[in-house]
Amino acid sequence: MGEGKTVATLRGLVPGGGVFTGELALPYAGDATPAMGGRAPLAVVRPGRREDISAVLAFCNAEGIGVVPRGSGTNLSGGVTAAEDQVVLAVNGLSRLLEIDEENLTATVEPGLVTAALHKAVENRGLFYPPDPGSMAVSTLGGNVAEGAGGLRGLKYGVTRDYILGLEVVLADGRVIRLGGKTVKNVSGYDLLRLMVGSEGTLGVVTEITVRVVPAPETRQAILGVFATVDAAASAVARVIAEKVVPATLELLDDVTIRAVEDYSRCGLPTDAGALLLAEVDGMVEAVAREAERVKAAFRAEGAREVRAATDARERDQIWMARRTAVSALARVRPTIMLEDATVPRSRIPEMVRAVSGISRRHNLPIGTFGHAGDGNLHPTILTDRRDPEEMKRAEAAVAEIFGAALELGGTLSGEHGIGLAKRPFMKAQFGEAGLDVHRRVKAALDPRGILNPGKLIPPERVSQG
Amino acid sequence: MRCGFCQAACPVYREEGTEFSVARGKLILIEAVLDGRSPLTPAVRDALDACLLCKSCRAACPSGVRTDLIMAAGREMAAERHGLGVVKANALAALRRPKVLGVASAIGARLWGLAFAREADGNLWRLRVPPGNLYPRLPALSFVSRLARGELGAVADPESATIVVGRSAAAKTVIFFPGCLVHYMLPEVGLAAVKVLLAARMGVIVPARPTCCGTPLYVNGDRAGATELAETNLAWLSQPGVTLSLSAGDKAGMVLEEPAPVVFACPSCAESWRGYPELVGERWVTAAKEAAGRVVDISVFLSKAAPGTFGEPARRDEWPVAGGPGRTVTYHDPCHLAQAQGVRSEPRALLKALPGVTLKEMADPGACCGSGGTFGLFHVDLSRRIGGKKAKDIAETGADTVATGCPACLLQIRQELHLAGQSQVAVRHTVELLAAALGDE
Ligand SMILES: Cc1cc2nc3c(=O)[nH]c(=O)nc-3n(C[C@H](O)[C@H](O)[C@H](O)COP(=O)(O)OP(=O)(O)OC[C@H]3O[C@@H](n4cnc5c(N)ncnc54)[C@H](O)[C@@H]3O)c2cc1C
Ligand code: SF4
Ligand code: SF4
Repeated sequence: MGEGKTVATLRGLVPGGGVFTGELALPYAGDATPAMGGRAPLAVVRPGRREDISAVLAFCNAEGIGVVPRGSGTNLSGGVTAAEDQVVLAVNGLSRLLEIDEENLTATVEPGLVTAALHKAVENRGLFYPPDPGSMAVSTLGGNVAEGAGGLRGLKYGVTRDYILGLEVVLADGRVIRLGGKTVKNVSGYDLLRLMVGSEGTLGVVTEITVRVVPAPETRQAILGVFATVDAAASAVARVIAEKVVPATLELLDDVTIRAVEDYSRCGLPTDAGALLLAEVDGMVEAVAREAERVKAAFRAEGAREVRAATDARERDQIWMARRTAVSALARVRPTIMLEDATVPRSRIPEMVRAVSGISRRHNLPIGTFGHAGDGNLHPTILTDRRDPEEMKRAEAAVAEIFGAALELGGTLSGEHGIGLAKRPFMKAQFGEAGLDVHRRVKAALDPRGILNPGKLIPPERVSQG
Repeated sequence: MRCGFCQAACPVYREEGTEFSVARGKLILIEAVLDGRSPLTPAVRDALDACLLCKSCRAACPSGVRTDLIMAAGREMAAERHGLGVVKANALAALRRPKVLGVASAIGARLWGLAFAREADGNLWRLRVPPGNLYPRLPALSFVSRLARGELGAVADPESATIVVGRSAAAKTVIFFPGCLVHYMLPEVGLAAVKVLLAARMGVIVPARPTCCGTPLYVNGDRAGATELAETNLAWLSQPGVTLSLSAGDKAGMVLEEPAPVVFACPSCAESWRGYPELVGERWVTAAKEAAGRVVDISVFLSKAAPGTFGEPARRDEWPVAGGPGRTVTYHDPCHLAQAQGVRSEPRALLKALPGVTLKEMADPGACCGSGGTFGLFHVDLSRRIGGKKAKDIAETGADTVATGCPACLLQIRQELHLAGQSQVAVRHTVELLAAALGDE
């Protein structure tokens, strides 16, 4: 079928929706991953009704046209980059909050709903949906499910995966399946629900999501510790965990990140510090008070220069908002940022931090490190300039070494940002040939024609051999 | 960086949900045109044009991308290669010639505000006038003509092309720049502004022939025209009699003081002046920087330079109230004031301090009203959808008055309330409510 005819057919399949081509499709070529996506995809299809997704997939499957499901395009692994012969399926038009079920403690939403909108809605009812990726003001829940997104509160509350109870998924050929439901317990059949979470749009298109919500904590307390070195801060993280306190959040920012964030947010972070730890404890009033004291004591024991608590909710929100902008704020420092997501068991954070600073020195590259230190998920971010090919070479070598260090310490390639295109080349190092083979078979079983987000997550055979 | 955070801030994206409606996507389009990967098709032009230039994306951008400048540059590019639309071009050309004032700048006021075409220039008839519009009439007398007739005790000084009000009794002098909308469409806002400045014991200097700040040209891609207007304004400002504030403290002769603040009741004009250093020719850069440093919104000025004058509890007794307005007021944050200048608390504090006024916040006071200068003219449906939401939020507060700090927002909201069948809700500039509390002298 010719291009024109394909586009015309697509238009017919999404009455009331949008189909964009040519220049208007260009902004859909990439996502938040630097330097990816340069050419306009064949078409962007933005359905206004859920049932149209089945029709679009059935058509594309029959024609063998690649389909890239897309939420807000904020992923950091090249997960929605679309090639010139592919169709982008923008599901962000389906964004209704369908139900908040206070009796069963669940919420049911369409995939395009923005994460922060769900937060607001459930918080109005005294409930709490913990997963809070830094991008929550813009990311969609469909994107969160497909990436298995984490967030700042992962330490105590876990990640998106831990909150998904039910999904409606459209398969590659357009058929619809429902997985899980509102029940807390459910062992019928294979755990396909969990297979879908983190599948990065390669196994099906999520069209409805039921999440678990929990009662909102009675109170929260944010604590800020100022350290002379990243090493000291990393040791303080280990000490907090060893003390058997589990803060909801325990975030680390190094000096480069502190300055970049403060430059944007002006919320009063100490720009002369070597590192900062930001913690939040939440729960019952008495417990919070006790835990806050223990966190402060742990910070002091590792030589914190200053330890203080946020005085009010406004100051607290400001601090977290500032922290959430770290990635983008670092982009103020140098034009190209390479954000990594390697994650290690939390006890090995101090070693990982030392490994990263060694890599930074050896390659003579500034690396800003921040992230969810409490759960072992750091984001070492290489600050570079893609216009300098020699420096980019060094940066790529540094990335490979960061992954190597993480795997050596018993960690993983990606804690929460996904594999997409960006981290595909390293999959073999993590899974080995047998592990990759299982991935390929699962993909072939669910998407035999390989139309769903082609090329993402699984490296092509050729590359993986090498 | 392409983090996409601007999606959360952009009123057009909130309605449309498409990548090319938000700053991130527009930047990609502009980049592609500049490096030759994409032609500047009508579709691209329309995408670049569908922007309220509200600067929300700039305020929200953690990477510090100057989206406001880039968007304007994108439109400049569109205008250069394709020419402005004929109608737009005619209206804007009129604006470039401040001497052909009268009708010409009135067109600017209209373009900048609403689509209406009562007593004008035939060209305007061809604009897509939205059905059901209010068609506000151009008042018979402009702001400056009313001052020139001696209202508020104003005196003309032909030599410096100024009108001076209340200087003899004043401690200090400020310059008040009305802008096209206030000057032509909403003279009552200008008079209220002067009145509250007088109450704050300021002498007020007003340009006798106000020149457009340049924004309507700039945002429609006519950078050269905007530059010309900016330089005209700076030339007026640079006259010694205009720019220096005189202190009346010394009876023997007035003592020169620091340059007078330039006060605005239109945040878009204020933003425009702040951008002059990046707009004007080299010769004017120093003057532009100096002027930009003096720009201040009237609500900020009143809160800072005249603390205690306006209903601060400590000095309530001195507030010359006649009855007080006795109103429930809700406040709309204009994008160019709240997002671009970060001014949110000052107007609210001023309003709250008014005797008899209860401030009741609407659901999302920072949501754009959909006016966006000429945006409403060329993107009727979209502007209507954004504005309709605003009208609903306002109605839900049950307030009898909406206050805002921007003449364009004021006109747009008035229009949207009218369409929503809520014309009973009064729409006022903050300074009008302050002036009302002063009573009729
Ligand atoms: C500044 C910044 C901070 C971030 N912080 C975090 C963080 O703290 N933690 C974290 O985990 N991530 C973070 N991210 C990454 C990103 O925001 C998350 O991965 C998020 O879940 C992506 O959501 P999205 O709606 O933008 O999805 P997209 O980027 O549009 O898509 C992501 C993936 O999901 C697939 N997909 C989208 N919708 C569907 C659907 N309905 N059905 C099937 N597949 C679908 C896509 O094909 C793609 O593979 C951050 C990103 C930025 C820019
Ligand atoms: S200026 Fe306003 S309307 Fe234009 S892209 Fe930015 S946020 Fe959107
Ligand atoms: S303009 Fe700013 S907020 Fe928008 S995508 Fe770029 S960096 Fe992010």
